Amino acid sequence: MATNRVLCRGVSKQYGQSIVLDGIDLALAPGEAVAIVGRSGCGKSTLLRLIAGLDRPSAGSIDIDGKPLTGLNPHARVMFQDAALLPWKRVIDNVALGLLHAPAAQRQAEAAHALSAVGLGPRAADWPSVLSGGQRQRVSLARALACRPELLLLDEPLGALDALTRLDMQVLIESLWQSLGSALVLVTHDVDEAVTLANRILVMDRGRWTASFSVDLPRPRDRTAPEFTLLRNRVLDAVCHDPHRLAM
Amino acid sequence: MLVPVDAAGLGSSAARSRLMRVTVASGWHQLKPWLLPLAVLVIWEISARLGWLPRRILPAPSHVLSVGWELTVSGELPKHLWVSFRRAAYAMAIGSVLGIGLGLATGLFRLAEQLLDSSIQMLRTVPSLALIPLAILWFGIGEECKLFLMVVGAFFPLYITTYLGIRSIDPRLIEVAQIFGLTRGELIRHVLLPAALPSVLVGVRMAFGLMWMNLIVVETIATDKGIGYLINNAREFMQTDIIVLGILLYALLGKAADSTVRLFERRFVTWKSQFAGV
Ligand SMILES: Nc1ncnc2c1ncn2[C@@H]1O[C@H](COP(=O)(O)OP(=O)(O)OP(=O)(O)O)[C@@H](O)[C@H]1O
Ligand SMILES: [Mg+2]
Repeated sequence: MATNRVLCRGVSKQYGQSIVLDGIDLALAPGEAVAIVGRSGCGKSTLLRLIAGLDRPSAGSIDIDGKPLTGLNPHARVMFQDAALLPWKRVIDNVALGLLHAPAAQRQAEAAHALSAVGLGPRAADWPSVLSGGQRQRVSLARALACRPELLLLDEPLGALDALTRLDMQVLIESLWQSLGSALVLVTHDVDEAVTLANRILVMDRGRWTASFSVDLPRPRDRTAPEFTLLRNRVLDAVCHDPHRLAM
Repeated sequence: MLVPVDAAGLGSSAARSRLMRVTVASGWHQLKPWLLPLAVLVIWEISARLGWLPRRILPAPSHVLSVGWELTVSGELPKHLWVSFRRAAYAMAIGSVLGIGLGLATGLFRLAEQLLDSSIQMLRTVPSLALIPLAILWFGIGEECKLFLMVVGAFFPLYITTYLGIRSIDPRLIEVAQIFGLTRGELIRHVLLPAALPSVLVGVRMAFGLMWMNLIVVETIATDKGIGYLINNAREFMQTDIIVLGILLYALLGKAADSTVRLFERRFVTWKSQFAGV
């Protein structure tokens, strides 16, 4: 097998006295899609920031393609939980942000393509401030997808979308992930989404993995299949099983 | 594959009728700021004509206007106006280069900040008019001294707003720039400068105000040109009409400067949706 795209060993992160991540191990092969589910505040976004190289772990190590990560991870593109669009750039220029080094014509074409793929082609010339929350999220998704990264880190990319658009976007993410062959880390609160998109589902609680499921269903996945429902229920059980729940 | 989810644009006929309503409304909108000055002028004119206001205290606007006209025809007023305008333009240009330049330096580079910022903040608290004696000693009583004091007035607001504009940017947006592979230069150009622009423009407006104030003061020291001189001279001969004319001119020029900056704001900061009051 080729070297892992991402390899986290015993990664911990501490802010002051509070331990946010506590000895996280994670191996992500090229072309693999991992979904992380877990309660709010358990440390999912923090882990993504560490993998992206935006923060340093307090302990443990992160290897990218076999080399220790120092500084920013050049292969990763992150879609942040809050869309984090540049308010002074029009929608299309926001999408083109990761393509600044491409020739102008190609940049325009690819940005326009990515934008219409998320269904926002007609809004290219708008300012981000006039978009709805879900539209901003889709622009942010287009921005992350447009530069065809080797490692895609999506932090609740579809959280603000209605059920129907969400299904469309899941199809889009899946097809792009398949055609690019990139590794994907998807943080989501939607267990159905995790089962639809991931090869592997990891459940996090208070900075540790508490469960791991591999998803061997054929793609595209049929949400009505009994295997799908079975697995979803098992994941839901794992997420909800929380010995400290009453103490919280 | 995917159907565009949000293809519904603006209904064209609805958009057109809305446009009409907007044009009608905007006429009224543009009129509103002028209502108060107009009312004041009318009341003032009436009181002067009825003799409630002695001419020596406050001459009628129509009289001020006719004096203004005479001075314009004689070439006196344009001469003074031009001198004041030129002083203001030079001071703003030099003040902007220094203020925005240093503000960018301290905002962008930690070394520049550590070296310069606290000193500049210290100097800022000195009222610029307290520097008049020093400026006269350094530069004499000529144009340089005037320019110096006006530049000082313009410098600090520009420096502070530029520095703050860069420092108050959302750190997440800088992370976005890093994640998407922007170089240092691109980060400055695509993220930091546009983020700072609204704040810098506020600084420009404040700089105009302070520079203007200093202009009025320095034009009363040892000069024979400029609106300040005109006013000061008129005082010695008790020509209230010319004094009032000078003050009105200051107000108009100040308003013109402010409008120019606002125009610039509307042109380049369209992305910012602002609270428009309730
Ligand atoms: N810079 C920071 N300083 C201090 N504490 C932090 C910082 N960043 C994150 N935390 C803390 O770390 C914990 C985990 O945060 P994180 O954003 O990773 O949660 P999450 O799993 O992404 O939650 P959500 O699902 O709500 O997005 C939170 O309790 C948060 O307060
Ligand atoms: Mg999060």
